[in-house]
This record gives sequence, C-alpha cells and structure tokens, in this order.
Amino acid sequence: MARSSTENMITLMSSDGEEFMVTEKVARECTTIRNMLEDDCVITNIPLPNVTSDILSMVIEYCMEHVAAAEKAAAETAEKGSSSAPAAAKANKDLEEWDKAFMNVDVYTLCDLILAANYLNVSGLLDLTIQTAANLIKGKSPEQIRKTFHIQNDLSLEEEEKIRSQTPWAFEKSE
Amino acid sequence: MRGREGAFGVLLIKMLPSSAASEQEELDLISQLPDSILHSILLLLPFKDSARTSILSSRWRHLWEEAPLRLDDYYLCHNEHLVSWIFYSHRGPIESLHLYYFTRDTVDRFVESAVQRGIRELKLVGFVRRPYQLPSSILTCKSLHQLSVVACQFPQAVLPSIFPNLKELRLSYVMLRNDLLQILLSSCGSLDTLQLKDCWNSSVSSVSSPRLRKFTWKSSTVDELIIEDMPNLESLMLDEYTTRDCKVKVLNAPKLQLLGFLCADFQTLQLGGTLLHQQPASIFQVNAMPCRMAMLSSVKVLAINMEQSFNKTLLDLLRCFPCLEKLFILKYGGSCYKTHVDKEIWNEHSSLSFLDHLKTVTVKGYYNSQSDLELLRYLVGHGKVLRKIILLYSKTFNDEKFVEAKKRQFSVEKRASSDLELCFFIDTKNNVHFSLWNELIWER
Repeated sequence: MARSSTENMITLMSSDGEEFMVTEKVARECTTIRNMLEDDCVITNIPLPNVTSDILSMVIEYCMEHVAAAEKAAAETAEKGSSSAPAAAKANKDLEEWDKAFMNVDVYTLCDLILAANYLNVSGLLDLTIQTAANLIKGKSPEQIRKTFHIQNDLSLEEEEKIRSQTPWAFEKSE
Repeated sequence: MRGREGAFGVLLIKMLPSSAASEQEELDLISQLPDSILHSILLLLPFKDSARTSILSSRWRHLWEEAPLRLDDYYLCHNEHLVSWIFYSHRGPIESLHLYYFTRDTVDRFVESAVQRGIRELKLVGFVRRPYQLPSSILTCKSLHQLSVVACQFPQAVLPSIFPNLKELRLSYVMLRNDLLQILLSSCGSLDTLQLKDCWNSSVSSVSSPRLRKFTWKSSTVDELIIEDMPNLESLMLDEYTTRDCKVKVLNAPKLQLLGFLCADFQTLQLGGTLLHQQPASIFQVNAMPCRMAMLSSVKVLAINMEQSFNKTLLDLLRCFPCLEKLFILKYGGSCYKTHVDKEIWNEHSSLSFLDHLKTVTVKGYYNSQSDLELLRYLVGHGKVLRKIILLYSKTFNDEKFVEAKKRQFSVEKRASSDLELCFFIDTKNNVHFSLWNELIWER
C-alpha cells in the first residue's frame, strides 16, 4: 500500500561526491529539497555541497525512519478505521526511543547534524539535535561545558569577574 | 543542469571544517554554529543555565543577552528585584513573560517594555480581591500570540481591534461585563483557542466567531449560552454544571467534533435544529429537523455526566449523535442499586446509528449497580465495532475478586463485536483514561 505512484527515485550527492538514491517521499522530508522539487518537478539529481557523505547518510536514515513510522501509522488507521490510542502511544514511544538512540553521537557529529538539519530544513531533526545540545549544557558548570564542546576560554579574568558581577544570580549554586 | 547550479549557489552556506578524526581533537564546532541556532539552543535552557553561558568565551559573551528570553517569576520566588534585574539586563526579544502578584505600576512597566521587545506569550496573575487593569499597551500588541490572565480587568473602553494576532486566550476570574466576550471574539481576528474559567458573565451570552476552533467554559456563571455562528468550532468543552444549570444552544457549528460535558439532567440543550428539552415529567422532546442533522453527525467524541443511573434519557441523548466514536461517561451517585430498569428500553433501542460507529466507552465512577450492568450489556450486545470499554471504579472496589468476577461475567455475554476488550482500572484523581476531561471536573 505504501508503494504508490509517488515512488520516484531521487539522487542526492554529498560534498565528497557520494551518491545516495532515495525515494521522493524520503527526500521531501527535507523542506529545502521539497521546495526544489516543487520549483522543478523533473529534477532527479540534487548536489548537496554543504553536507558530507557521513552526515548525509545519517540525515537520510533519520528521514527514512520517520517516513516509515508515519506510513505505518497511516496504514493502521486506514485498516482499522482509527488507530487505537495505546498502539499509537507505543509507536510514538518506539520512535522516541529510536531518536534517543540515534542521538548517541559525539559532539562533532552532533554539530554537523545541526548544520545539515538547518540547511536541509528537516524540522524534526533540527529540534531533536538542538534539544540534545541543550541537554549537554543544562545543569553544567561553565568548565564542564567548555570541556564537553572543546570551547577555548579567551576571556580575561577581569572580564569573567565583570560577567559574574553583572549576573550573579546565574552563578548561584542553588540547583 | 548548468542553469540550475546557479540557483543552488544561492543556497550555499559556508561548510564547517571537514570532520576528519585526527583534526577533530580540539575543534570547537558548536561555537561556529550561526547565532540563530545558538539562540534556539539557549531558548531550550532554564534561564539561569542560559545566562551562565555568557562566561564560556567571547563568542558566547553576548549571545544570551540577544537570544529570546523566557522569564517566569514563579521560578524566581516572586523576587521583583531579581525579575527586574534579569528583564533589564537582557536586550533581546521577549519570548514569554509570566508575572504573579506584582503591583500594577510594576506590571505596567514590564508589559510596556515587553511589548516593545516583541513579546509572544504573556501570563498575568493578579489578586482576585483587587484585580488590576490590563495595561493598555498589551491590547494592541502585534507580536502577542498567547495571553493568559487571572484576576485582571479589561479597560472600560475596549478598542474596536484588539490583540490583532492573538491565537490563544485564557481568562480566569475576569469580569466579562455586558458583551465584552463577544467584543473580544469579534475583534481578535486570529483567535483559535478560548478558555474561560470562573469568569463573571452577563446572564445571556451569545457568541460568534469565524476562526475559533476550541472553546472551553468552566464555571462561568450564565443563564444562557448561545453559540450562534462558529463555522470552525471543533471542540466545545463545558464543565459538568454548565449544561445542568444553564441553557446551552449551539446554532451553527458544522465542524463540531468534540462535545462535553452534557448533563443528562440538563435544562435545555439545542444543537442546530435539534432541541433537547427536559420537561418536569422527564420526557424528552427531540425535534429534529433533517436539514440540520449534519451538525450532530459531525460529533465524534462526547462526554456526559450523570447524577443518576443510566436510563432512557441517555439513549435519547445518544440518538442525536449518530456518528459517535468515543463516549465518556462521568457518573455520580452510583449507589442506586434499587433503580428500576426497564429492559424493554434497551431492546427498543437496539439499532441506533451510533452503535455502528462507537469504538470506545470510558465510564468514570463505575459502581457495578444493576443499571450499570444493564448499560454494559446493552453496549456489549449491540456495539458492532466496539473495541474497548474502560471502567474506572472507586478504590473501595479494589478487590481482585471483583475484577475477576466482572471479567468472567462479560466474557460469556453475547457480543456484537468480535475484538472487544474490557478493562478495569481504579479511579484516581487526574486519571489518565479521563485526562481529556479532568480539567473540567470538580472535586467532590
């Protein structure tokens, strides 16, 4: 049932010249590509000079998983009239688990994924990746955050003191 | 293809240094992300964590000040000094601002500044005994999408066009004098969701809105509520007393899908051309005009509250919702073991249309009385596509034997649907199976 007439294949080419064949449906998860397809419907080969093959393959993996989940939910609804709430909740939970496992990456990959999700405009992936980045910052001391992301502290001691005195409430150890 | 490459060129942004493993060691990729993305990350953090990032490096020094701010004084223990400090030391746009119990002058100052900084969401909580007036600057604020107000007053003269882009409006303890409600509805052109709780209304409220999709009404005193014309209304949620104590008329709401609570002891309930009117002698009049029946067919989810046991009134009500898929019943006073149940009633109503569509039934306050059992037998016996019945019973029944006995009993009943599941759960406050309606239920 999922195999319908919209099964056009699109070739995406990464910055390092690797080609990825995906269904149009998967490609359309990227709003940037969807807009290109809508502007020019005969397009079948899309170069993506901003995305490396490692990262592009991950983005495609994410899109495929989410397209498959949506198709499965739609098929169940069509079959039974309406999807039962517990089944839908379980499917959601499964997808959340999948997302969580998918986000088990190092900070470099995470930052590359954020950029790719932003450039390709995959809103679900962008939300997921920036939330993951926020979780790495939440509740951490500045030293811990610098270490996690390899941020070089180029502020002078005087400047640091100034910031602490401007927003002392932010540095209280209440939590 | 060559012509197209030019088009792609516009989309190009500078690529980060390639991530070859050996070069990665000390690369600070996150600091190279564009400001807009870092702002989004900061917006997901508690504001203390967000503000603390300003000390990370010179790249992060001013990011926090320029990122949108979410400020909720609830988490600052209502420390006005601290709220001011954060509010004014930050220079970026205001995403949301929640202020509790401040003096009017302070609120005015904050709100005026927040309006200039493009506030999107505002919550103001005042004192019920001396509600303060909404600052006039907020009424015309173009950026405001959500407004939640507790114990505030609207200014005497309401402008013809207020809240130009407001999507959600929640009012509690607000005096809706004269036709303020309708003025709000007709002047907020983008309003999608309206929630009224404990508001004082004039005795008759007649309302229309072209855009409104969700309308919630809890314990807002009124004798008569008339939904005149709401072509996009999908959800009408009334608290359990409203349909009992006031007349509810829904004249035109062709997209209405979710409706409740309807009280089985209601005074007058009018839905489109259908007028349900309970006479003192407990006789139902259903004057259905075929041309308006479409409106009732749109309802898929219905919630009913019943003070008494199940009886014919329930069936007369259900008859008006031929396409009903989900039914929620809130039941009180279940101890009517002795209620006389006329079995003929069930047999006479064995082919009502809703039985072809009804998929789930949830009963809160199930008591296992004779009439409870009669209703279950009726639904089990005639609900052709019924998949699930959820029975929420009082803690006093927390007895495995009871549940087992009930399961056994229904496993031998004649069933119209092949894959029916019967579930028993202990009824608790904020029960997840009734979560849709929990907000509207009063503690007893």
